[in-house]
Amino acid sequence: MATTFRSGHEGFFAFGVEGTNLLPDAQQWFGLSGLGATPLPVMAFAGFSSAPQFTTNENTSIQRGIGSYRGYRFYKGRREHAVSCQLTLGNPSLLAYALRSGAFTSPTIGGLKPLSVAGGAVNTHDAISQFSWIGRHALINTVKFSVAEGQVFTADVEFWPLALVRNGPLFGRPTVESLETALLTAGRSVFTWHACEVTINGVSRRDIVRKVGINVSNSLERVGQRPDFGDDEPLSRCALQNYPLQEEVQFEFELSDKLPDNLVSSVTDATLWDRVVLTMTAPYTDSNGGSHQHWIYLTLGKAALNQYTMAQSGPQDVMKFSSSGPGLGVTLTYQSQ
Amino acid sequence: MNLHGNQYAVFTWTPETAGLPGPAATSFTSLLPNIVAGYSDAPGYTINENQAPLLGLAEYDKAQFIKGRREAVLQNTLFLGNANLLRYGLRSSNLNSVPGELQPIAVGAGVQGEGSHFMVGRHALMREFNLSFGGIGTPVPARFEFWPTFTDFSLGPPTFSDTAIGIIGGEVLTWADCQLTINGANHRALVNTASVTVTNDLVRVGMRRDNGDNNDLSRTPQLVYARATNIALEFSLFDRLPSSLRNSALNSTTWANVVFRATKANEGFVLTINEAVLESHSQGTGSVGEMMKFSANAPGRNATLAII
Repeated sequence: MATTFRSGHEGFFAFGVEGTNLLPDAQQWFGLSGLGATPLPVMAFAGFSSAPQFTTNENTSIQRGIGSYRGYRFYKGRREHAVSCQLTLGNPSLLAYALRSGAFTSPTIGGLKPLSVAGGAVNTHDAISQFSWIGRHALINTVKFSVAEGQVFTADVEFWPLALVRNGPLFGRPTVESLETALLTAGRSVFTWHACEVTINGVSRRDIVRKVGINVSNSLERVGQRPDFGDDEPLSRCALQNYPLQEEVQFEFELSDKLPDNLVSSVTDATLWDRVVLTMTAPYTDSNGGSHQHWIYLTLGKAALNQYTMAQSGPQDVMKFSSSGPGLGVTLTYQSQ
Repeated sequence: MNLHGNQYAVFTWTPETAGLPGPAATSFTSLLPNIVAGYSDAPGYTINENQAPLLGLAEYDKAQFIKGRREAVLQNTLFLGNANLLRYGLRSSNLNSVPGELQPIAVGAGVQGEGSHFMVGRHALMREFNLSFGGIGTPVPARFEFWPTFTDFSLGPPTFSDTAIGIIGGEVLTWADCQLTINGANHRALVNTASVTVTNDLVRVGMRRDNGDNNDLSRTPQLVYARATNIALEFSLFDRLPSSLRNSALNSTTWANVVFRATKANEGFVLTINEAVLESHSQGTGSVGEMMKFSANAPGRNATLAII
């Protein structure tokens, strides 16, 4: 096969919500893997993003034994997939599925909605180069929200698909123009630092906050292993299910000054904060040219100051401070008007 | 002294073809175990001389040591692959001319190359084997233990090419190559790990006379004898047992059979436990951040092992 070169601008990232849950009992020893019985959901572009990355670990090992300094044979292990990408928000509809507070309707897996996530290239100039892969029944393992002075609002997302279909559909093989239009529509207007508000205990702290990071982990665990139906079957040797355990939330602030005393030490429970709210707003133009606004509210119901520092710096540098800690009850709300 | 890496270790076996040396025998015919079992760890063996101190009045030191019965044990782990050796742990295999008895074999453990040495455990019976299923990313391990009647250090190790061992070892079998049925129904997805242990209640009978420590038959048992067989099934589960295996019918706790079938490229084995009864089932405690754990134990009545 001739080498094909592809540029990131030909790439795409799309997602859809799975309509069923691949229950462990659904798989049988003989016969099809069961994936064929769960049709691909309606896919939508996620918005502005990097070209997504997928990693498949076959966990192949060497069987060793006495009688040889070499290994005897290889054997296959559990097939483990991960997909990651960075979204520039915009459109947070995908990230709603990162949080169990979304209270999704059935089917869910431990409160999270299984998704399909797809990536690839849709080069209209050279049809040979186009391709697509789809991670099926994926849950979001981690998401890292980040915004900083002069920066756009981003989210680094890692998915754990149960299975990966290497040769998926190309979503209608859009032209460059239609893909661009579709992504512009899906991406909406991005949120930037200059339209960001950070409040702690209901009081704006934008004056001292230079960068905000809110990290959420769903602590996914791969449970069990399905039979080996053959390397050509996407469900071969993969986990029975990826299951979310505890939700871990962590906030990180980079600060231009030390934290005010009432968030550190002026009262008995100064380090136990009520709420941390990150509010982003941006103008929003609909498909008819109408002018609107849209907002994202990322809220920690509770937060606790765990660590705060003043960084060592040189005489020519601006002094830097930071703080971090765990959070409880993270919610993501999106509004537009 | 020679240093040895475990890659040069040897583990071999062969069936005994002649009877035990007589009760008063002081010599025996050597037998070289020349069958490789497959992929294995380096075997371990222990010979216990059972020396006992003699204490007497008027002396705070020990008066002397008294030699006891010479008792040998050999243990190892096979990675399946080839399960042929495990048939010798089951009377149902009918490998002995006396139906229902275990077939004695000679087992060899040692090291090849410079400073090679070899121990042959003679007229050994398999006391126990254990198969573990469900480990993610590991072959199915079979741990086993033999009780030889006596040992022979006079022979050198047989030599094999690693290619030959690779052929005998067969296809490596992992949990992904296994299926599990209970009462004919597929319950594989329920199982986190499963363990089958077959224990033959061996007893060492009598003791031969002491012909000197340099005589391999000295102070060894007259024979190793197999009494009852016990079969234990242990399951670690992702969820509780279905009611059909617990309480939905008159005799739900009496299972007709539990079948483990492990095959790859048309090679493997089928281990069948006939008539198992649910002895206990439990939900384990655990902390947040862990999956819930369930378990079940079920002794079986008898087991068969078919090689495919």
